Amino acid sequence: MRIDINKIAIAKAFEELGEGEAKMKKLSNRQREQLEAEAKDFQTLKTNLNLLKDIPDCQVTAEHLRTRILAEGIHSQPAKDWSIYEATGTAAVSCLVLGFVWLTHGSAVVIPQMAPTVVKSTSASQPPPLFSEPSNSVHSEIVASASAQKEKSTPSLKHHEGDQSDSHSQMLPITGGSQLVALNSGSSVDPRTSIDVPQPRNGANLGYRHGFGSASNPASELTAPAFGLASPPLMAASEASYNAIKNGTLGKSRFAKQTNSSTLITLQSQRDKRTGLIEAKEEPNNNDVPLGG
Amino acid sequence: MSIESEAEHDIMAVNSATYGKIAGDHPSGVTDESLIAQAQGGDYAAFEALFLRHRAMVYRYAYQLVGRRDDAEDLVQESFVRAYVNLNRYRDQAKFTTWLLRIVTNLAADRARMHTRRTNLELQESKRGLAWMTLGNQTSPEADLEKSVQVELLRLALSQLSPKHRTAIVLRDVEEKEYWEIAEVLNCSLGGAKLRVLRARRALQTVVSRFSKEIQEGLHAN
Repeated sequence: MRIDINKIAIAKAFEELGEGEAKMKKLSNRQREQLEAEAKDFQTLKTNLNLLKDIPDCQVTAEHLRTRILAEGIHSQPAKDWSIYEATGTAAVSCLVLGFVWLTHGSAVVIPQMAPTVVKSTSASQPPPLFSEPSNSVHSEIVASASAQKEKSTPSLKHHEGDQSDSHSQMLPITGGSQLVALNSGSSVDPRTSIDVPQPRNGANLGYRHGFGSASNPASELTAPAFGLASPPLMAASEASYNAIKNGTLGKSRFAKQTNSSTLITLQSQRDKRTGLIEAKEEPNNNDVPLGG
Repeated sequence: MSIESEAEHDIMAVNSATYGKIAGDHPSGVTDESLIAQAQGGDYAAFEALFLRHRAMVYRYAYQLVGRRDDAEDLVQESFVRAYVNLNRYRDQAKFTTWLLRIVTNLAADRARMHTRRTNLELQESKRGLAWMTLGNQTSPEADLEKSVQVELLRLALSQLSPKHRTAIVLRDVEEKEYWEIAEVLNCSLGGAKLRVLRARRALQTVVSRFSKEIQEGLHAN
């Protein structure tokens, strides 16, 4: 068995000989001399380590500590002594709440509000945009006031407004030197209540990027006529749109009109004798026509 | 300081005087545990009594770890602030002093990590200072000079050890703690504590020998 002389020397110097004492007896004379020499070095070390106990007095007083604690407003933190049952219970309740929220709100389809916008060129040197921009400041006021009215009437749509701002940032490179002067918040119809209205997401974005609302977008009623505000009829149309927003009947009236007053055209089985094409017939009362394949 | 703070300060001072008397006149009358319980209940004066009781021990330990008075005093204050913040998390599974020493150890280790570069610079300065002292430009008597040199050398050697080794040496050979206490402070087993102390002593001896050799060579060169 190999004997660690250094270890025994240290133990001897620091007066911690236990099993080492028995091992010391087994050492040869040469090993014992080596042990004594090493132990002497460590005894010197031990003596010198005792000298380290002589240190200057501590100047930190209770007042220092009190001032520090008060100055920093330090408070003792409450103990967090959570048992396994409490932790499990909290986790279970959290899961239940999450599940409830998911079932009530998570599965609902929310169609994002389309965001028609009005842009105005701020630089004369910039080339004109693809569409005719309104130069009348009244237009901006109308649209801006419509936006304000919209924000007042439907604060719950703020989330979609945020989406709009993202879209604006995407639009900026396309419009070049144009500056956003007003936001049209679109229809006053809550998007969550109008999910039966066909509203393609990508189409909406496309229409928005080019400054024209999609045909299926109720919000486009405001901006599409608004682009030609220089002419009085379109100005009137814009005012009508504004009033519709104000009254909260913008989208609803349009859809109601579409479903009730439109006529259906049915294709007949026989062909026209003169042209050879399939005959079409206009149905006066569309309520009696069965739809479907 | 706001009026509210001043009022709080005054209340603390009055309570401190009361507990200071208790802790000072009858140190064994009030146990650490009872003071901790009162402090945990929001009695700041009880905490201050704990501070007065253990300040010297914490300072001594901190001084050995950092080797500078101002740093040690900072460490004392920081340790007691941390102890105050976490007082409600203290459980009597360990002695209060052990818990305090553990806080000091952790803070000193953090400080050592942050100031490695500064320590290296100080080491260079210390070496120069040591050489200057060895040349005999000291007003103290010869014996004191020899002692000062030895202490300075040892402090320098301690600063060269890793925080783990330094802590082990200070706890065992300066503070004379039992191995089981060291194991609690260092959060290791009894065997682990013994092994760490053994290795720390070896490492310290190696560094001291190297420094002594360098000083001897420097003297011969001069």
